[in-house]
Amino acid sequence: MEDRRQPARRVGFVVRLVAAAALLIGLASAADASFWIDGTVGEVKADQKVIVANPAPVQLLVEFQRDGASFPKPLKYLKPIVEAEVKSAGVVGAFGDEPVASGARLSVIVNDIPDKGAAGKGALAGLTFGLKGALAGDDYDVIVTYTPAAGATPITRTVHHRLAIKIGNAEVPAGMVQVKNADLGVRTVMHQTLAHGLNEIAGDPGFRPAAAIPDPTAPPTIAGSAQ
Amino acid sequence: MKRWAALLLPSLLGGCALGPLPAPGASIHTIELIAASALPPIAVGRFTAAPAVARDDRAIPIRASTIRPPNGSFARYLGDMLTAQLRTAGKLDPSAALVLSGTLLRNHATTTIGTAHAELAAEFVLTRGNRILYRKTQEVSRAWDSSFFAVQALPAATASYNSLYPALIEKLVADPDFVAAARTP
Repeated sequence: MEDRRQPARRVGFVVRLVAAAALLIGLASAADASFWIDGTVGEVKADQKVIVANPAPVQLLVEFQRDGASFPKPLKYLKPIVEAEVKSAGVVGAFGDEPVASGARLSVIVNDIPDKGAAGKGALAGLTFGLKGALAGDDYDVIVTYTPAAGATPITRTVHHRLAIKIGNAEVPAGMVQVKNADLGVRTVMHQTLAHGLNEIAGDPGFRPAAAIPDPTAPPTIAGSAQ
Repeated sequence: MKRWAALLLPSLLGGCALGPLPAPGASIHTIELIAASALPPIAVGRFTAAPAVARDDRAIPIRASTIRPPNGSFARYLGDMLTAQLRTAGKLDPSAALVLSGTLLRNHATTTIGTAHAELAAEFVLTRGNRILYRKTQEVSRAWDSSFFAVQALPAATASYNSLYPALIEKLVADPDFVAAARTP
């Protein structure tokens, strides 16, 4: 029996082929693409930086999500970046994948919220050879949660950031700053979100860096870093 | 493809082809749920596919591409996912007398333009020696927006489909019958 869906499928295939070709042209014109990040997040100011005297060991968990769904593929690239930022922030001590004796845990969820219309914008930029430019990007919610000890109340901070690519003749919104390349853009987004998130956690009254084990020989911590 | 492209703008820079799923990663919500539960340490036994889903155990067609498990079997992938979450939550003991096994009963995804849908079901069996303490089927499903453009639709499908695995484990761990059975001496 003849399949009546065939002509519709053929039309759909051709439409998809044209769209894919337009997208490829758009990607070809991406040679002069530039990368931009949200400039409003910035660095943690020196006078706001919380110093933790006795950073406690923690279990570090890192998860990447797309629209809230776990998507581990980019972790090979992302996890070392997160680990380097956690180390340099100095809010927690030694960390690894396995649970620690105190039950202390630091979790980092990077939730990528893609621009739903990005592929269409890219295709349009391609069809017009860049005359109709495209600015498309992803928003990132970086959710940092610190649990001082097993059963303790977790402290959570969410820091929002944005990373965008400009192709062709597109206007960049105020507040976006250009970065040299995409890799630096990702690293800057991760650095700024984690620096802010971890610093805010360290300043939370519920933060107990020694995992509820006071050390009488330890030097005093500055206000906000311990109870 | 540069490594950052998997993270940045998959809609513009990602590829249309799907590789196999990566090895199971940490699902933080699942781990927290397991860690906070009253479950004793558990060993993970065999995870196999029911004969009726033998084909779906090897690949899931997504438009013109396919999602494949990293180790050749989605049933084994479920077992590996369970092992990874239990280990990270501190509840895995390969020498424990309590052994959790499973059979994949349903594994399906449709990604038509507009709305996509996927579902996953497995029967879990918890044993201590020769005694069966728990035997129940758990199932989860998920629907999501599916773009016209494959470069957006495929990563979204991969993430949404993959998220069924931790969701299924969470459903098991949240079942009071399972926790009670695991605590049976």
